[in-house]
Amino acid sequence: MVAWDYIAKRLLFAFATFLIASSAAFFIMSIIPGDIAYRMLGDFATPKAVAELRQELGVDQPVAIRYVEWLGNLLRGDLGGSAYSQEPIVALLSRKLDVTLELAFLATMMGVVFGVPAGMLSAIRPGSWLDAFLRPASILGLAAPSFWVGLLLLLLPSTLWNYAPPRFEPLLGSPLRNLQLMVPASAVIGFAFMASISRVSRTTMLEVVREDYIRTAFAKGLSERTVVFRHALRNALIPILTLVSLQFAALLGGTVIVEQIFSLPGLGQQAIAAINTRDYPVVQGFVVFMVLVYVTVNLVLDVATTVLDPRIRFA
Amino acid sequence: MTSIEGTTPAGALPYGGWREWRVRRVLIGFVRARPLGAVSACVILAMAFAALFASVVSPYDPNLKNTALLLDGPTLSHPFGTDQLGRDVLTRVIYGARITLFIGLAVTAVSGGLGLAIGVTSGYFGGRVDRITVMLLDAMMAFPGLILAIALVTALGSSVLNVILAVLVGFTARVARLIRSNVLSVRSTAYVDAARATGATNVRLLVRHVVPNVVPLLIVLGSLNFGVAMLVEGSLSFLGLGPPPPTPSWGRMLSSEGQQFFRSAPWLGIFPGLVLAVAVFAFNLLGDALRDHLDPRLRGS
Repeated sequence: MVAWDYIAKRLLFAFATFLIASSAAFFIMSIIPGDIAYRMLGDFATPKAVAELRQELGVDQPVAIRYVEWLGNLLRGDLGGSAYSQEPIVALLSRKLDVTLELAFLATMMGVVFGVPAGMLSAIRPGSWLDAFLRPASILGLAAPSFWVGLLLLLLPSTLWNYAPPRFEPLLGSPLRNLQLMVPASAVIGFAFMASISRVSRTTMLEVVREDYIRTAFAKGLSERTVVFRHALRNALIPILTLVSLQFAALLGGTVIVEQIFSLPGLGQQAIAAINTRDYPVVQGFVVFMVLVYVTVNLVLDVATTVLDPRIRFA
Repeated sequence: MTSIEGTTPAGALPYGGWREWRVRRVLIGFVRARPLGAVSACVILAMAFAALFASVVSPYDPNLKNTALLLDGPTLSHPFGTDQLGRDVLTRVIYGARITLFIGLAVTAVSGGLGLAIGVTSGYFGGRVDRITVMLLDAMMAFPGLILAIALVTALGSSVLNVILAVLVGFTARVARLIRSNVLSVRSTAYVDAARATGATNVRLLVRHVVPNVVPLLIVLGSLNFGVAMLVEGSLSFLGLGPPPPTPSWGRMLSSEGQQFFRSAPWLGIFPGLVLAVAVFAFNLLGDALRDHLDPRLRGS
């Protein structure tokens, strides 16, 4: 049974969240102190050029009017155009989307594929060497700054073995060369992700294995493997899913950093370039885009959680 | 704390009386039970000390350029080496602690205070205000933290105050949300009901019963947030959006202005990041230890 009511409610809520957050992005960008046109053109701009740019950007209109117009365009999927190239921002960002998505996907996979089993195993065998190793390792994974880990990952092989990863190539162009660069890049984010996932997996698994139904399952004579995978993991997955959705925000932030270190032509690099050239409409579009991705991922994981666990719907 | 009167002769107390003695007892208890947490606290205190008295502790002037020693490796006189302008890296790391620790402290303190006020009000009084607050907090949390900070710094310009503001927004929302749920569970406990039954006013209930019971959570969150705030500040500085030069900052030491020299002078890339990692690690360990010590119910979470 799927609770359509619940899903509809979540959908509505996600939409409201997106509206509030992207409106906030609009207002943040409109509080830029002084004149945005002056900031873009620099100190030597002629008044005429400033006036023209103001008109072009629409900032000669009052904020309220601009907001309504912007919101209307947003709902039609139009984020406006770059202040310099006039290219539609949606098209600009879509071109860069694949790199960032690949990074996020690889990092999530690494976090889940290594983090969940590590947490599970250390919970099933508390006090084992794995358990003793995992706790400090996971705190270390959370503490190490991603920009530093990324730099070391580039620096060490190059000083020790004179190895440098190849330049960026698109995944579809030459997959192998692409992965040679993307795997270490996503490992930087995946490392921190792994740390938090293994921590939560360990905690929930410790709680689950104490439950009565686990004892019952063992008492029935089921093998440890069946109990762990069929009974315990299924129930431990829910908090893990919740964590993945919460941590996805940190992951998106991480892509900005990693794209900068590994010179990957993704959304984050585009945003930083836009900040440096003061192309504020692009920065604003980037923020709205990230919020949209985050809200969507949360919505999907939320619905997935309710399908896995009917109790949540009625909580 | 109930057995204090019975176990200690009053004559053995130092001049400060019961209160000071209790503080000392709590401290000793913490050190005994959580040695790792105590070591972390010492590391943090040592860093704070070095940052506060940077001009006394550090061997050189942070902006002194020794052109005879450009990109010189770690030696006894320059333990962390020198950079491309011949400046002592150790000195710059010590001075860099100032800005990072200050921003961490400011963000933690203000987000803790604001978060406590919002969370307690929203959770304790409930109703429509609570629903609207939660909705707004959730919308604020829909911003990926670093990206919100990037947007704010871009709009406001990158001064120390603006970086603090930018990091603060997301942190306050998170603290408020967690405090609120904690208040909800405290509000429904028997001792609050009992106090209300004796005729205690809302103010008294809040001050004497609700707030003291969410303080442990606040302390734990503060310790963990301190570390994360330092990481966000580092990331912003790394991206060139942190406090502007000449303030030395760990994130900026690792950013593009030094990167081109890292291959020939790896110490430039290793030490600032290592110190930041150690600092965040210490705050995380301390936060974990405090959580286990202050609130057994949260243990392992």
